[in-house]
Amino acid sequence: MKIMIVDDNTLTRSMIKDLLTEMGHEVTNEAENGNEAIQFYKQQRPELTLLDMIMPGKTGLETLVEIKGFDPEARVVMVTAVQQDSMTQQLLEAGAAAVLHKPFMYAELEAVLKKF
Amino acid sequence: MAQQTNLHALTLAGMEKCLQRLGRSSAGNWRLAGVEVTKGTLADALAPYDGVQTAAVYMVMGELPLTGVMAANPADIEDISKAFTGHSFPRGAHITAAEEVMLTELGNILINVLVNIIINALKRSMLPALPLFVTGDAAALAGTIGAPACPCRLIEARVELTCGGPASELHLFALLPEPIAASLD
Repeated sequence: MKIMIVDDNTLTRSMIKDLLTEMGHEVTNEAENGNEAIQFYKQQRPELTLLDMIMPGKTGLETLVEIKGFDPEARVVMVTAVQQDSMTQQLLEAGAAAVLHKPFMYAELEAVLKKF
Repeated sequence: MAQQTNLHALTLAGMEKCLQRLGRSSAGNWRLAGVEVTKGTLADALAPYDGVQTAAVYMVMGELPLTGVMAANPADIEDISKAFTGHSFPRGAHITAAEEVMLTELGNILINVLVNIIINALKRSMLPALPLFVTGDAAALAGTIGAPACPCRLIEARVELTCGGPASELHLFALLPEPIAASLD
């Protein structure tokens, strides 16, 4: 699967990329903020986007809404350390396919990806 | 004096759950060495770092207001990086950009656990601030972090981590205005 990783932390992007590569997926883009992610999404239409919540500039939620506005079929999984019940609900209502909470295990990421 | 409150029980349960997950998703062993809930100030929390160079990650959420901090001894960074990423970042004279990025992400995870326990208990929802990195002794940290209005409840958690070597410790704390904290007792 062609996947885009969006996270402002380079280490997190690198760690997630390693896991995805090990699972046989291809990371086609890495974005460090919401604007970059939207631009890459429009250009490349990745099959799946892993999107961080807290970033400088646009939040993950704002980025999610914009991507879903451009492509309602976009598959976006939120990856976040924020574990607030109402926030998770808000992300799912905004169109997130799933919410993965940090720290997550290999098997959890694998299980989420198998849904697609 | 430490208080065995609802906040204490919630912090204990939330931190233990997070450290179990961290143990299964990283190279290190992570253990909650203790939780303490007291009435205190930022100066109280930073007292152990008086004259001691410290690396800290912090988040300030003005809406409550709520301040969360993770403090680490720079001498432990090699062990912390090995436990968190599986790779040792060899120690130099100064904290490198890679070490700062590593500590910021670990702080993002652990501080969020602590502050989300409080936010969920208050049945509130708010977007946490970006985690920021700072180094220095207690005075420098206090100057950068900025003290919230007191009196405050000081919620502290000590995390012990190992990865094939001696144990290192991370000190996490959150400061919450006393009237809000009292509503959770």
